[in-house]
Amino acid sequence: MRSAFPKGESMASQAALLQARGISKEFPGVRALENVDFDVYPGEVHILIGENGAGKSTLGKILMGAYKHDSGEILLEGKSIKINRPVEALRYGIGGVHQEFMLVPWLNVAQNIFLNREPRRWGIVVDHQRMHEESRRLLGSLDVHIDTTQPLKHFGTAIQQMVELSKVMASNPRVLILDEPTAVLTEREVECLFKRIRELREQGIAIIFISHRLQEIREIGDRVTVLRDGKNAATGLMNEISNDELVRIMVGRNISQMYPRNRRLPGEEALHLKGLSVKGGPKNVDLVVRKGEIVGISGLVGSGRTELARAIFGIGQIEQGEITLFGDKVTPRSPAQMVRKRVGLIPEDRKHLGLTMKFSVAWNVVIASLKLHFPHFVVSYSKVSRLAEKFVKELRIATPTVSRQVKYLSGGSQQKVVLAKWLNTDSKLLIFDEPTRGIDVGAKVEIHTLMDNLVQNDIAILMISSDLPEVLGMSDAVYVMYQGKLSERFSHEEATQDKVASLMLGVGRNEA
Amino acid sequence: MKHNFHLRIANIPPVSWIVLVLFIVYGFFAPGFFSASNLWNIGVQAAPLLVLAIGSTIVILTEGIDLSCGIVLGFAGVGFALLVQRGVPVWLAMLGGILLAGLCGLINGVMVASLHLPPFIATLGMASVVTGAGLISTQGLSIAVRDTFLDFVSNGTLLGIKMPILIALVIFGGVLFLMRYTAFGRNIYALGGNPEALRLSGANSTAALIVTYVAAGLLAGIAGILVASRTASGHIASGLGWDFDAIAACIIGGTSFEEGKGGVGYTILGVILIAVLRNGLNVAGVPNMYQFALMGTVVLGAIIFDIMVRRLSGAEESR
Amino acid sequence: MSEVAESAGFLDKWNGADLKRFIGPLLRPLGLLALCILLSFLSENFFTLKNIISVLRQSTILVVVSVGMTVVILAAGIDLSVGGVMALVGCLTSQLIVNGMPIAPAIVCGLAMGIVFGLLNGVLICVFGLPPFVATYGMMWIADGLAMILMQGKIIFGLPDSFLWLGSGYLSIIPIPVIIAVVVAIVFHFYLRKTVPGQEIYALGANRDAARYSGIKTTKTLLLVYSLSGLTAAIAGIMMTARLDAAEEGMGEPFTLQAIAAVVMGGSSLMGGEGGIPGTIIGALILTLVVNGLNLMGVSSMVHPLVTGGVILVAVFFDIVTRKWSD
Repeated sequence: MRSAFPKGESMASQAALLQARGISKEFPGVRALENVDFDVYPGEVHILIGENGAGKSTLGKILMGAYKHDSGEILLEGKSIKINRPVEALRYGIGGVHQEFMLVPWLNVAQNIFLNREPRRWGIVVDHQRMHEESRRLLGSLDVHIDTTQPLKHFGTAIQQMVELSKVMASNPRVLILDEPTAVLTEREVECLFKRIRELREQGIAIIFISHRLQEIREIGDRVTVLRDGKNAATGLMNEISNDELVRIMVGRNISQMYPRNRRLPGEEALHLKGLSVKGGPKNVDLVVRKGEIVGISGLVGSGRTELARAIFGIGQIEQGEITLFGDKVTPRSPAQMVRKRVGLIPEDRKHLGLTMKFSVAWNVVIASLKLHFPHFVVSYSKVSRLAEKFVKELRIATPTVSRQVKYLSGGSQQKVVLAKWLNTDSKLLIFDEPTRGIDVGAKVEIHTLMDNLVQNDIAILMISSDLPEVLGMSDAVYVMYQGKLSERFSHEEATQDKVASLMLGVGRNEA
Repeated sequence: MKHNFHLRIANIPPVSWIVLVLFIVYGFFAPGFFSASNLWNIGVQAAPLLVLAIGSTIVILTEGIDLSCGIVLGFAGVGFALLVQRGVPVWLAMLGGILLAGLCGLINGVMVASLHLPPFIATLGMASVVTGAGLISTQGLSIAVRDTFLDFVSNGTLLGIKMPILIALVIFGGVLFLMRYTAFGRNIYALGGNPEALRLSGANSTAALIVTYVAAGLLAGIAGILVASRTASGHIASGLGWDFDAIAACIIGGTSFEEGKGGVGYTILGVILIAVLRNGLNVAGVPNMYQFALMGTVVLGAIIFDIMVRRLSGAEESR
Repeated sequence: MSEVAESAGFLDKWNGADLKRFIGPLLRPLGLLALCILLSFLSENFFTLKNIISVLRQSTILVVVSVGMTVVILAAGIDLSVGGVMALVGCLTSQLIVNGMPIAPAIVCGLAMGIVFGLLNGVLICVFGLPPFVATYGMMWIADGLAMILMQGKIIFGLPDSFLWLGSGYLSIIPIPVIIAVVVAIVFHFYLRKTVPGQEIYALGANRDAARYSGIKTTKTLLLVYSLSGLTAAIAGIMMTARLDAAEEGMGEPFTLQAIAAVVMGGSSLMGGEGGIPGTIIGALILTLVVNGLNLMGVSSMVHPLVTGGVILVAVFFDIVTRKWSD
């Protein structure tokens, strides 16, 4: 890995192209960034790393104009600038590709790349021919060769990301911000992307690369900045910091404290999947979860884990295979049915699927168990309040009263409300999909402790997580999902970081 | 290269096959269906519906709806007739009626785009207001108009094609061009698919949405003039029920509500279906009161059929 | 439990935003009061007992239909077919009675028809995935068409007194329709606020996906919601026929938009999950008063749709603005 600029002292002689000073940003209930400094030089790849919820995505969005910062300033070549919209950032030469693409599904690829900048004939008429030629050229430089006349919707996320990237490249930016670009890419696609990034670096473009994947950033990064809990934690040259140090700085505490586990002997089988294939999801899955244990499924985004969770919970179609729940065969057809069978799902998208944001804590805690607590049809508010207060105390949910609207709670407390909802239904099998995403470190530990308490009480937990240390630290047994195929079961001792990480990338697989 | 222009075989909505079946059925059961005069008749009757449905299509593409277009159609005719009554030259009065309809569209657009009213409430409320205005200005009566130019527009022939059909086709072609080659068209798709993307790319998405509703209003106005010229009168209720036909034509033609998918080019198929259906029922002598319920059932049935077929073949949509 | 959510405002810090949130719910009863005062100035006949009872009686049909519409809108749906169902049920019931069927079974048939139509709406929306306004708009045409076929262009009148008692009878000084409307309102209010299915309806409207993921049977609940709307439309249709001693197709037409208006003006959000019966009743009363006022001032009935439409648009606009305040 080469560095395009001289190391050490001579860096000061070059002027930073883009600088952020004292940036703060708050969302309701959450302080995303506090007094953050960041800069990037032409011809370097500056990695911005941190855990989920550390604020790196927010910083990236502010720099590319998708968000506005509450305080602080942004300087381009030393001059303070104000950016209100991404298109303004583009005019300054700052272009960003973030995780939610700004694309229109039913317009074709070329139209998306040139949205509002279409080449025209005689000033009015769109020149489709030129548009397609240009689009093909831009995509070709990323080694993507597709039919640009097809609607964007026909292509998968990886291609869509390339389209988004081409859209940005079309305006020749001087600063390029990439937010988790490799999340949806295969290994080969990552290589292509990295090749292009190196070419851009040679051309003197400043590149900000946001990630939390330690494996890749070494390959491509020149400098690295770590954010933790919305604040600067460290900045330095990539080849002067080891991975372990990075992890330590990212997490900020001793790893063993993060994952409090009292391992015990598991009980009988709670969930057994045999040869399960889900429509639009994983195929031929064999999986066992026993009472009193946490089974973790690791894998890349898009590998099919959420589809598996949904299928078990009754959403999604099962094509073949068998599901045995607490010893009985079952065909999940709806969440209502699975909830009756004592299964609970804590979904990945907590805000839209796990909670009804505008209603209160109390309401959200009881909504899944109304029939259980009120078999006579009539609802008593005092009983609802009592139940809610019980769980608020037990789970230490940070809220002044149970009638506070859930949208004002912090991420960690919101997750606890979701958990309380299922504890209220007396669930015996809990599926956690990304249990600690977007939650600050303190709350993460609390949730992990809660999970440990649950399995002490004979509950079975199936945990899906993209956070490798979390999977390794919390699970009693580990599976790895790669492109819809589940690996064999590894015990806690067998599952090492290297083995799991490589399986996540598809290395060392025996093709079935 | 005009890739988007040609209707790909795979994209032709399944319901078009129903049109084919209908043709065959009518050929047997409704004598006189296939006569030249009847076929011209279908075209002339369908012409205002096509124009109206084009307006509905572009609004639906933005994930909105215009439930006022039927009333606005009648209102344009009323405005036209009243202007003629006051001595305004016919061609100018036609323009006046169309612009009046465009004004209604503007108000709709402002309500939806700037005031953020849900489209169906805004246009439903608009329908009520325009109904009242139309009733007051005509006292509920029909206003007759007699003029040779009017006869030409409704009955005349240019280039061997009846005028109403020609006008409708010219408009159809014009809107198709706008949709494909100008910002107007691209905006409509973007508004339906991802309005945020449009806004972030620097375009004024609010203005674009307003323009869409204005266009729909103008188109309803043109349809209203076509109807007024055929009935030689202006009456507020002349477009009653047409909004359902227009929306149905869009959906049958393949424009979907949820996705911003479809287009003006497909709507013509839906219009043909509905026009053929109505005409066939008339020719076969089915009494008017049965047509109401029958049309509603068939149209809903066609929409359901469309949805089911799409769902069954939907798995292969995204690769 | 929306009141549990709403009460959250009082427990937070007392600041400017909360002031607006506090005023919002009070706006409607105040508006009603203001309207009453205005009308009593515009016409000396307004505050007579005779007129007040007349206004209350006039409002009952709208109240009943709006109650059903409230349930649908709370579940984030819409029912554009209620006007058609009202007419169809009114025509059906009167046809049955005129052709010899005893009153009670005829009414039951009418109510059943309303429920069936509601179920059909629900099926179109849940099973076939039609957007609610397309499905119910289509069903409206079918209901209108069926009514047309049923009536063959004629009007029925001369219904037996025992049936007309439903429309013009009294229990001491209270008109029967008012009693019916009050009972319907109370039953539905209790149902929405205090029962398990009622809370599930709120859940469905506020966030349908979260409701599903919490184990609520969304399809069953939606079918129930639309059936209830059909039922109230049927009740309203029968009440209307009894009141007018006449049945013809198209007689329910203005009520669809007015019912939606009453619900929205009453504070229920069109997005679902917010609102309730009490607000709807205020909305219905306001609308009835507007029409009553126009009549008292001798304004021609042709102006009514103009005024109604205008009032609705203004009310919805205000609703959206005040909603932004309390967010």
